[in-house]
Amino acid sequence: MDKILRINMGADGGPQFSEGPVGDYAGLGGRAFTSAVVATEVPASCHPLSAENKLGIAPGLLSGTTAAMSGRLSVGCKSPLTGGIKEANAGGQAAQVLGRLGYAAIILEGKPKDGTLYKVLINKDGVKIAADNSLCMLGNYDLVDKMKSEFGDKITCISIGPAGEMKMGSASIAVTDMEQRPTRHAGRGGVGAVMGAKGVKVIVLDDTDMSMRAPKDPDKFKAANQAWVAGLRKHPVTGEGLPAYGTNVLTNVINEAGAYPTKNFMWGRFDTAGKISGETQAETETARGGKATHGCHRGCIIRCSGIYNDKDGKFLTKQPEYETVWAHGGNCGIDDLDAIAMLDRLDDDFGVDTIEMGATIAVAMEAGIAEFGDAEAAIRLVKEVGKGTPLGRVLGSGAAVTGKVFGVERVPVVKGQAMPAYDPRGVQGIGVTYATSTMGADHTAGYAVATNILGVGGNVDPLTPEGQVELSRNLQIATAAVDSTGMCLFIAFAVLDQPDTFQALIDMINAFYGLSLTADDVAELGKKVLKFERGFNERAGFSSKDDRLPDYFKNEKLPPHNVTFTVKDEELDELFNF
Amino acid sequence: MLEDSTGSPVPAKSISRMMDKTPTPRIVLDLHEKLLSRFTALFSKGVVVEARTGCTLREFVCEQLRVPEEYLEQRIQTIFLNGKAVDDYATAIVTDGASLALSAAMPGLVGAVFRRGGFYAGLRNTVTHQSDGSAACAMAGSVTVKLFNLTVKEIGPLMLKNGVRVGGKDLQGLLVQFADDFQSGCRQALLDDQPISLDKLTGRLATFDQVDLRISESSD
Repeated sequence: MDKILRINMGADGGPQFSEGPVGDYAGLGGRAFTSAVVATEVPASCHPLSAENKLGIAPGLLSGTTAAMSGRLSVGCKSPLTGGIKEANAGGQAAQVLGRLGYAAIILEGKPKDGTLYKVLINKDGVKIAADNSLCMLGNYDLVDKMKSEFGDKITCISIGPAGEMKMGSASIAVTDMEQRPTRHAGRGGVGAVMGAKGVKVIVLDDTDMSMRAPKDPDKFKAANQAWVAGLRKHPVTGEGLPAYGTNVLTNVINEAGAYPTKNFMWGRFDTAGKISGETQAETETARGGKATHGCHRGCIIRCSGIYNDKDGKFLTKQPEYETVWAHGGNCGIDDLDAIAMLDRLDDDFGVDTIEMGATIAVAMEAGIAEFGDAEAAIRLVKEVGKGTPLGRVLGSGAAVTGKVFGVERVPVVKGQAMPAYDPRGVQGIGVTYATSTMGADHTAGYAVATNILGVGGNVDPLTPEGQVELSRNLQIATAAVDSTGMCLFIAFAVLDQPDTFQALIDMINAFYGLSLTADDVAELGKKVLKFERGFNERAGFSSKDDRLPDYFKNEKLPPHNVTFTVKDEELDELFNF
Repeated sequence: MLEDSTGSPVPAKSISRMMDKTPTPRIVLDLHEKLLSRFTALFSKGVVVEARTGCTLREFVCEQLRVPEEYLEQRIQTIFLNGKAVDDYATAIVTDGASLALSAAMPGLVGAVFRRGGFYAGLRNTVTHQSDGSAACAMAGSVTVKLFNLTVKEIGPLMLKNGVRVGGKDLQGLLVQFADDFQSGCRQALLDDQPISLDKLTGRLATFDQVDLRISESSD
């Protein structure tokens, strides 16, 4: 994994590729890699859909090895949704396969001079790029089937659906899972629109005859990986809770806390949340012959996903995540798991971010386009997006645009990106992260609950607003660090509670690369990434005024606890003082 | 002031319930143990337990629900009392009419935030339960108990065996949803101590606002 594949989609005579060493990007993986590329090579003032923007696709530092949980793929660019830097990531098979093919990153540059669509094949024999307009407007499921018929059933696909081709702000990039279904998505920020602007419909990866990457110190690496796996398996979250119920296990708890955004963030509790909870979802999946426990890529031992079958026992979609169930469920007043699963399937097929799409439908419902709770109407609206009708184009552009078009005041976005499934009035610290993240409102921006282990916890009083800013800052640093290893963020809990498990992760990286990194080094990497990203956003025109929640979160009380967001602007402005 | 059999004062809400002349129907189901997992939805919504209230949360869970203290300490990582996250179960007081939710450890940042006494508890200070410092006043009452995720499997069966009060329509919904399972896995159903077929019981449940449900299980 010591080379970068650059494909210039706008070269004279058609796309040209070149391979080169990682150079200054050596030692970076995942988000650290993509953010460094964007911050260094992309003019901050460029239009996100222009030839000047670049799309970086990078596996993690340990992808393609036997390290458990090392299958996260980062995608980075200037975001068409936020106008700032973006890193979105996904599970699935691609990171592992790219690693075994020897690539530290693929960078798509330029754009075709006409509307030609291309497919890219990467295997042991090299790289082939071919025009193929027969792929135009195919959904991700049909597209993958077509690629399988052409290239065999050992492939992994990175692709866009119609939404990416139409360059919508909510467009995602799909990655196929172990069953070669396009169910895992780098969803946030419209990264699929940038891939669409580059004219790349699909990147087909085939690692047949390629070997696992070999560590510099195999014995130490093996021992560290064993300790790593044992640590994840013994923890109640990574070893029991997530495998049993998936991320949707959060629905009942967040709802009970009164922090479950309901009907476009009007209430903090959804009366019938139990019908769409992780517990109910797992029961439904099992009863229909699906699976409540399933990995999204080989080498995953947490297995927080699942298989959701329809009432006839036929595959409908993968187990919808908590954020998806919330966005299309409680946030739209919908308590029908089958309808939510159908919406998840449509989102995956059209290639749109489930959070952005659910938030957008809720804004449209508030505007009167449909009634809250009308599942059929929600499905109809998402189909409009897939068809690219005028209404669909508006909705596909995201919650912020939809709110403007239909004159809605209550639009839950920061930097143009929709908030995920936690009301910032109920969980104020999350609100700090929503406001200040370089990515726009993003729950994973401060997800890595490992600040104490990383030594960036500091001595703060978490009960004060200053303490909340401090904690959010440290969480964002820790998350940037974990994102840069390419490890699944769900490792965070085991890392939080078990210092020896975190040490095992560092030991794996050191044994693989022959390094002697410490926890401090990892924390420094997190800070470096955030500074890259913050610097890019400043050059793109962002200021502290963009680090704000919409005013209504400060003014409208959230039932049932009737709380508002109380962290002051000047306190938010302290976040990047490091 | 009215007192219950233990000498504890009876609150107005409970007096009102006692004055309701219609006794709550009593249902006993003799089920195969594998069917105990079918009651998940009831615990998500919450079941009502008649108990001595005015005690600490620890006393309520360990002494009245009969959950081992070790389980409370190690397994139950997130607790909500009246919708607010509890950090100290030794001081939080469970009063008549309270709603109590119990959960095992949760994933992600928000899971960490809502964890009992956790490192990130400060991030949810507006929805944290604050003990008012008033002395506990023991009295008979009722508490709604919700069980989430792993606790459903681990505490749920114990509570069902001890007996809980649930909505008639809620129980009917479960019996209809999993009709085939209950038909094959229910050995006997009793309504007010009288045997009744599952079909007839299911039909009558909608007419009951609430029922007292007790489960006896068998493994064969």
